Amino acid sequence: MKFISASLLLSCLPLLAAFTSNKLRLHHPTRPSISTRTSSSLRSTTDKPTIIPSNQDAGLGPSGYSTTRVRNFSIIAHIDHGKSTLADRLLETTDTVAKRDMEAQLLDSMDLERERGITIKLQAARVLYRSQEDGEVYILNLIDTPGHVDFSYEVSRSLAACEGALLVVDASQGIEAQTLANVYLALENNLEIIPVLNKIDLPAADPERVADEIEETIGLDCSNIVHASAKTGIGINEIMESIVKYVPPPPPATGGPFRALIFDSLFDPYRGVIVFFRVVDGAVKKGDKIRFLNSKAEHDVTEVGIMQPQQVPVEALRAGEVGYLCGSIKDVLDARVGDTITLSSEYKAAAAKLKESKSEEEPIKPLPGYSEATPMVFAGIFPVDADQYESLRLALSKLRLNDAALSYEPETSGAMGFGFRCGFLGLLHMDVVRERLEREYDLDLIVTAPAVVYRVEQGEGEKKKVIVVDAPSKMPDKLRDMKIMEPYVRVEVLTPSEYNGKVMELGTERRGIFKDLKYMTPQRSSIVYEVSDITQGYASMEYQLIEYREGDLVRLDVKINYEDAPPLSTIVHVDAAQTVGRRLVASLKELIPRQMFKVPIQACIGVNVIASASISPMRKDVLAKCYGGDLSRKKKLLQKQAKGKKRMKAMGKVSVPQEAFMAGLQRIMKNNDDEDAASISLRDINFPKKDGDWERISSVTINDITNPYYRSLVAIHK
Amino acid sequence: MNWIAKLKLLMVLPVRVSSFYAPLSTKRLTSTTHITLDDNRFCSHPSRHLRHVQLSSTETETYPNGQNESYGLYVHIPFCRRRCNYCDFAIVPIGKESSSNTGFAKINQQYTDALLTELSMIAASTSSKILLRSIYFGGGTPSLAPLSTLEKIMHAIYKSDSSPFLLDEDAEVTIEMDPGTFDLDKLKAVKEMGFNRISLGVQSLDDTILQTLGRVHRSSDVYSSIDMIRQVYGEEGSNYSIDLISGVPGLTLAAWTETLYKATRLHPRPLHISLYDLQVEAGTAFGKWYDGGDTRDDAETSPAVSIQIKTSNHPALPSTEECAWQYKYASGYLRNKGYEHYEISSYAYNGQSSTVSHRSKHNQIYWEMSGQWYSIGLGSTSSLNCVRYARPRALSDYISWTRKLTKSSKPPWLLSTEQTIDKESERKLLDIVMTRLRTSDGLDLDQIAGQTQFKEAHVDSILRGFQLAIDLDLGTINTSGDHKYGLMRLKDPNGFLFSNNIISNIFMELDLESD
Ligand SMILES: Nc1nc2c(ncn2[C@@H]2O[C@H](COP(=O)(O)OP(=O)(O)OP(=O)(O)O)[C@@H](O)[C@H]2O)c(=O)[nH]1
Ligand SMILES: [Mg+2]
Repeated sequence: MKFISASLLLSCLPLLAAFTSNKLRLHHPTRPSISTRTSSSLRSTTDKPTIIPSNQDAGLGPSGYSTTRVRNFSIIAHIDHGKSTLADRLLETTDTVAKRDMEAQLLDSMDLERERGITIKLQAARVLYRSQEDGEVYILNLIDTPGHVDFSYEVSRSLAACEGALLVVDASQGIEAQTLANVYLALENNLEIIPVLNKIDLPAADPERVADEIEETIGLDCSNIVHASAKTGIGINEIMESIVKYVPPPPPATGGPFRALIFDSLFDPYRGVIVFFRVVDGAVKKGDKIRFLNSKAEHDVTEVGIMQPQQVPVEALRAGEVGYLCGSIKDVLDARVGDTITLSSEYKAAAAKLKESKSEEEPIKPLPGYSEATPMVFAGIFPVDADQYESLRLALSKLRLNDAALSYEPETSGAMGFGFRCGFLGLLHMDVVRERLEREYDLDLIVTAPAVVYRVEQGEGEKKKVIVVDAPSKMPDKLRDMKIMEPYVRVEVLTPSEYNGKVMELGTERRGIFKDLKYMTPQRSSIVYEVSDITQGYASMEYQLIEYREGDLVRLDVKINYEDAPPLSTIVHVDAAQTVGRRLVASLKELIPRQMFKVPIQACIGVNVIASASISPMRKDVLAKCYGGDLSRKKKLLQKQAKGKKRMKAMGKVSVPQEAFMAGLQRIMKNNDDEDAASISLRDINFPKKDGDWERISSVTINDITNPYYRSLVAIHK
Repeated sequence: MNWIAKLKLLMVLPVRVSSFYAPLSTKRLTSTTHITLDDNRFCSHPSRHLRHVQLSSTETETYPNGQNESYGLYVHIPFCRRRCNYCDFAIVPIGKESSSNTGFAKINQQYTDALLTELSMIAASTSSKILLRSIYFGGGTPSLAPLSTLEKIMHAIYKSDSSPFLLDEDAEVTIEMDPGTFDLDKLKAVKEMGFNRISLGVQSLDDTILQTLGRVHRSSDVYSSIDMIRQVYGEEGSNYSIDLISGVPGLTLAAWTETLYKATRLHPRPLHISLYDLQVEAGTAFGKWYDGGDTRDDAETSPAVSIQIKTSNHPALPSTEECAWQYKYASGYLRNKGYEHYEISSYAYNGQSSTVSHRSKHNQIYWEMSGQWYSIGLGSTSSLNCVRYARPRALSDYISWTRKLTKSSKPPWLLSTEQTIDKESERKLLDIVMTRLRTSDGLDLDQIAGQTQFKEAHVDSILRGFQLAIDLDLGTINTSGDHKYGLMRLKDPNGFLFSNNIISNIFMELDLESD
């Protein structure tokens, strides 16, 4: 296929404009490293603006482009097993990124990712690799994915754009929660899975044992498994050879209309929405008018390109290829993740044809797409300053485009004013969203304690009413014929067998119902519990898909200075209410600063106060002198005080800091510290099954500081 | 108060007003003409940064007493024998035997030269004399400076032809003196030089407390100092102020009542008392002893039974409860003894037949809505011409800073950029709120509302920020007559005690509004 034409030459003017805007984008804070690279490399391609070099198939050699020499794969693994580092090596050994531009975890381009050392968003990159087998040059489109369970939605979207998955397993750790979860995701997508043992340079690496584990628990053939070190570069060529050898090429173009699946998108303030997609059939080029099947929006394509990993414009993207396009798409809803891109002309032609034959069919069949991510944890997000509500709304809508798993709807609360009730995949996800909102959109936010969803059933048979309660304060007062249902999760714990006892102790402590104990290998066991985990408040996070059982639950309200503080309400087991109440008021007493008056804090069930404490008033808050020389200094002190107050929310007369709204969470941390010095978090994730049904994976991670092994728990739930 | 009304009158006649602006900077005048004259009440326009005494007789009519058109001058003398345990000011410790110490002689020489340089810079920046209503020699310990030094400085300030300043006829001229640092002859000379008010660094009348504070003097020095003041200035002419500190480690409630009892029986009577609640500052000896910490708030315990936890050999800090009690006790006791609590930490005697106010004229300039003052010396801050300028706090930095001053260019403390002026109105409003609420006269909201540079929205924010103070009975707003908003005041003593909190509430509201 050739696309060089006179029109192409003409069209370089708008392209130039795009480049200038790229330079401006340097100042955009969200993606600093990538955008820097983008602009420099883009400029180098535009030194001669009259001719656009046909970089389309540059480097592919005499054989040119063929889907038979394209490999699309994702890199999947448990958190920290070395996906991003492996991606670095792939970019490096293929000379995609010059040595001098190389930095660790290059694809983690968000500030937050670099700071936390984790991948949050999927990131695609194209590398060219000359196979030692046949001497041909292959296009490898790799997608680096996050390992943390909260971002599994990123993984499932990546996988839909691929034919294969590189399963990275840390040879010193073995199979862990997300190793399994991601394997299931890859199997759902019918992908070829290539296991790799990473970190074999570590003294603690035990590749034989881990290979056995993979064979036994996952059932993958490990006789030829690559032993690699993403750090030192061992085994990198073998990995690429096995990708070429085992990952199936994408199906070739059928001659049918252009169809592409959007797996990610990004809002750029200068170029509008940037859409990342995988071409399934046909081709798209600059100047085409495209149509998004679901949103029905149409746009002119101003740029198509590939990620190397910086965005490099090319002339066209063809069946099997992965790339991006932009077209001054301003409305974030026009190009939703999962939507199918088609060509407007082909769509119209097909529609006209259908009209003739009076068929009800859709002119172009949409690609399967993705199911919406199901939020597991809900929390309220409110601007500290009510005037920021509009900015918050805008920020959420933009972030939503960048983070398809985020959901939100407006919420009004008497105490907190206008804000949003947001759904997250887990606590880390929540934390990342909060931080991005504050950082990238410069907002001051109050986030209420995360909670799961309860169901309240009232009446029997015909008259039965079910209320879904997604915020504790919305729990109705209990009536006689009312049943409060709480989510139960089945927790399967993967642990080295020597810790079986400890894990079971923990399960019992958490009111878990013991179900099963299996030895997967002599050294590794699986222990199954069913928990409602109500003592952890937020941690029993079921939404709709697993079993609800009746629980003896009550709403525990908090009053500060005799005024209701609904954002602080929690739902607890009746027999735990006393303890929880006492802990809650105690931590609020710590978290709320002294005021100029005494502040009683009460935990109540209905009208009954079950625990109380009071914050004694401060006795003085005065600066002794205030003369000429120190006016400025004193003023700074007061301004600092004012700034601190600005970040608090006034509940009645009392200024309550952000941390207090997380008091429920704090109570849990404390609890854990007291009991076994391990912090526990539980995360759930859903993924689609072939039959359209859902399957759920909940995982619990226990981080015992004293033991690195003691940390991987997995649950599979139907 | 009424001078503002007068100024307003002037504003109606801008042409005339400008006629007696100093010809200092026409250039800056044009660059900042967007500031209306009306603003001048709060932010002195660069072009009128010096209100000089060139007033013709007709102009003097417009300003019958002209007193509020004058400035203050602060002179910093940094020498101290040693650094006190609570002190974090800009001082230079010189040891005990300063007079015979050649090292000190050199420092003194350099420092005096530096002050004289500053004064000559001020003189060079004006073509006419600047009217002062107050001079204040603070420190440090100004009484440790050799007489010759003090004389040179006083001379350069207003006594020579080339002096930049002129003294208002009833100007207040204060010098801080520490008990034990002067004798009768020195005090006589000080009086000769023109000092008509003495601020005596008493701090306490209890020798144990003085020791704890790290002071050099003892209570007997205080009594003999006051007797010298009586001898030199006479029974009637003695105008002196004492400093007292409450909340000191080891200071019991009983000892505090005793201190106040003694202080009010001093003879002649101190006409002014500055009463500070001790603040433990990081970087001081106390800061080290008590871990930088006013974290001593175990407010549940009542003062009578509070347990004093001794840290090592140092006496325990009183609890905040006790500090608050000491503050409140002083307020009630001193009022009873005829002292007016006119600012958070200032008391002025107005008892008996006294019709004159003994408030510190100098300090009041700091708290005025548009007070302007010059300053010279180490670490001192001047506020002129919309510029608040702080000099270097380290001696060597300060000396070299003065050496770099050149007469050909404008002195840095008069330089204002467009930018600093733009930010000025906001900054100024915070200053006004902060300082006015510290005074018993309070904050006149109508005056603020009447300013073009401040909006009524500002007043609304201030009112919002003050609401909690009203709810808790810590503050009042008096509306009388044709006042729309009224006079906002903190109550004495409870409102004063929480002034930070209330002022920062207002700051927060103002901040929210400006966003
Ligand atoms: N010794 C050794 N360390 C490695 C190797 N590969 C990765 N690491 C280290 O393991 C840590 C995690 O590596 P990443 O590449 O960020 O892991 P990841 O799988 O991308 O992590 P997430 O994106 O957060 O899921 C880093 O500190 C790497 O330097 C290896 O082969 N050997
Ligand atoms: Mg990563």
